[in-house]
Amino acid sequence: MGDSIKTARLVAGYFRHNLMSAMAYRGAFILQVVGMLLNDLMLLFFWWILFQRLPTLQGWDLGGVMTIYGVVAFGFGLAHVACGNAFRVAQVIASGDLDYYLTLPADPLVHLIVSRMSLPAWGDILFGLVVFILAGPERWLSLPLFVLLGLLTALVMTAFAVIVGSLSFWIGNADAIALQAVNALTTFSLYPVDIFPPAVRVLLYTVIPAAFVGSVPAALLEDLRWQNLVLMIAFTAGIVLVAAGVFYRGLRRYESGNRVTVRG
Amino acid sequence: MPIITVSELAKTFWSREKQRGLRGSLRALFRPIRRKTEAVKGISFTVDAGERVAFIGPNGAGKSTTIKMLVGILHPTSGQAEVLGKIPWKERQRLAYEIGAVFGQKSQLWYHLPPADTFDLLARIYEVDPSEQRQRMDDLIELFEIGDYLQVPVRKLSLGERMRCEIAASLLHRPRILFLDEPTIGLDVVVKQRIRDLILELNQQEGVTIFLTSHDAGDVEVLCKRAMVINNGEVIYDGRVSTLKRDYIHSKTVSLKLGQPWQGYDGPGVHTLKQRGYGVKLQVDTTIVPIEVVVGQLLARYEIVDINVDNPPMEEIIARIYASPREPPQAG
Repeated sequence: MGDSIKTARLVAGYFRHNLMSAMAYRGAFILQVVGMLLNDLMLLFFWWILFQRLPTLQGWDLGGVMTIYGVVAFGFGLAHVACGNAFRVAQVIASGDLDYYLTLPADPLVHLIVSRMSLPAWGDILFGLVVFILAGPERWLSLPLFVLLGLLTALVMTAFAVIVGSLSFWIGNADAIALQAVNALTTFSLYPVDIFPPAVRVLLYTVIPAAFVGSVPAALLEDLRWQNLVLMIAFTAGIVLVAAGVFYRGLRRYESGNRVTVRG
Repeated sequence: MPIITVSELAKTFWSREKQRGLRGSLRALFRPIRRKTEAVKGISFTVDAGERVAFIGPNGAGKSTTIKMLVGILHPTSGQAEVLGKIPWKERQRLAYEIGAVFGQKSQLWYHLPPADTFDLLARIYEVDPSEQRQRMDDLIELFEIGDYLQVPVRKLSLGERMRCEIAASLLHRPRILFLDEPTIGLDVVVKQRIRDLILELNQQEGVTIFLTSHDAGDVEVLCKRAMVINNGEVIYDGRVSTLKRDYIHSKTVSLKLGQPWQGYDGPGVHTLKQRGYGVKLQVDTTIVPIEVVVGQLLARYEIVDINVDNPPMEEIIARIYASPREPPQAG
């Protein structure tokens, strides 16, 4: 128990510091947030055009796709704001920058992932919320569920990023491959999983768990089935455990490095 | 009672070898050649509480690898080590509360924030009580004279100012051992001296055990009583810095200021380095002729205004040790 309180304090401390560091450059902060909002809107715009021509796609309508976008953007934003460094794990390991986290008395994985905040991701959080509320009538009623599912989605994304990033422990520099994998996860999560052929669908529930980032939580928001909620929670817990396992196993092989670095 | 015990500690790295050019890259892709590098080859030593130990060696000798194993960053390939009764790579987090580490090439300060903010965050990580932190900060600010730029973003500090803050940051939690990896790297002479003074004060006032790596001979000479020389992953000397000098110094320089013109010195083992007017500098090989004999003869023959007998600089001594790695390790 003492440990989790300590971890929570650490996470809160970093959140504060990241925010302070970000606000050192106010103009850049606002510009990046607005830029990301526009970027997300563009993506949704194409779906809007599509649904002007056909009413539904494999049982999904514009409201459904907007829900997917809402939950993915919100989860993506949360993950990148709170655990921004999870998406740089490969790089941190390969460059030897893990040293810093290993000399301090905190859990190195938690410490590593929370020590960076992505600024434009605040725009994603905002976009996710707005799109979800606009996706259908009386959406604000299911806002608590939306936030819970967003948190789970964020955890799945973070854990996935840690797993692929940890490949650096074994193959030297997994930066490119990790980036590809995370991009694939995000891209696939934005499409309703039912539009894919069964073989691909299996992949999207396992190797690249995009279904648990987009379609599964979105379907829960449309129709709350308890067994699906349990599945979502169980999968999240599972992938988080796997991520921690992979990272700590790799840590034994860590080779450090001598690159000259400064902290951001 | 030793607080650091190392026995037969070894670390081997594996790397992929690549030949030159694109062809080499392609070959490495399909038929990689794995190369074994024994960075540290089974070293053993102990360090007592309150000691100031220099771990010296050229680039790539295994200094950083050893220090990284002692703070728990790296897992060794074989061998044992205990720091304050803990195995570093197994009890890393608990050990971290009791040791401090400064890596000259890696900053722990936040680049865009003033040092004061980093200190707050570190205090939180080390779970330093807020009132205790304030007291400690006041002491460190005074000792390191960093009060003036505590609120200035780190990116605007000079390297010397930053390094003072780095060391202060690593002392917030009152560590019992301070590991410093190249703490004076890239600093100018004056700042180097200041950093050395601070480390010395820390050792004397707070009894902090100092374990530093450096390839700067000055660090060793000024800071440490004991030196361990490492080369190619092996400890080739472990003993007092003064003994190190005695054992490896086979020559002295004699500087003279004469009351009459220089007419030369003919005897074995003496070599004129420089001569201008009434001033002359001689190098004496003490394995051939004792220094007393040379000085005696000089005094008998010349009218001498001033005389100085010096050891060669530490740099030269260390260079000599590196050049003769087969020299048996000496006990201090």
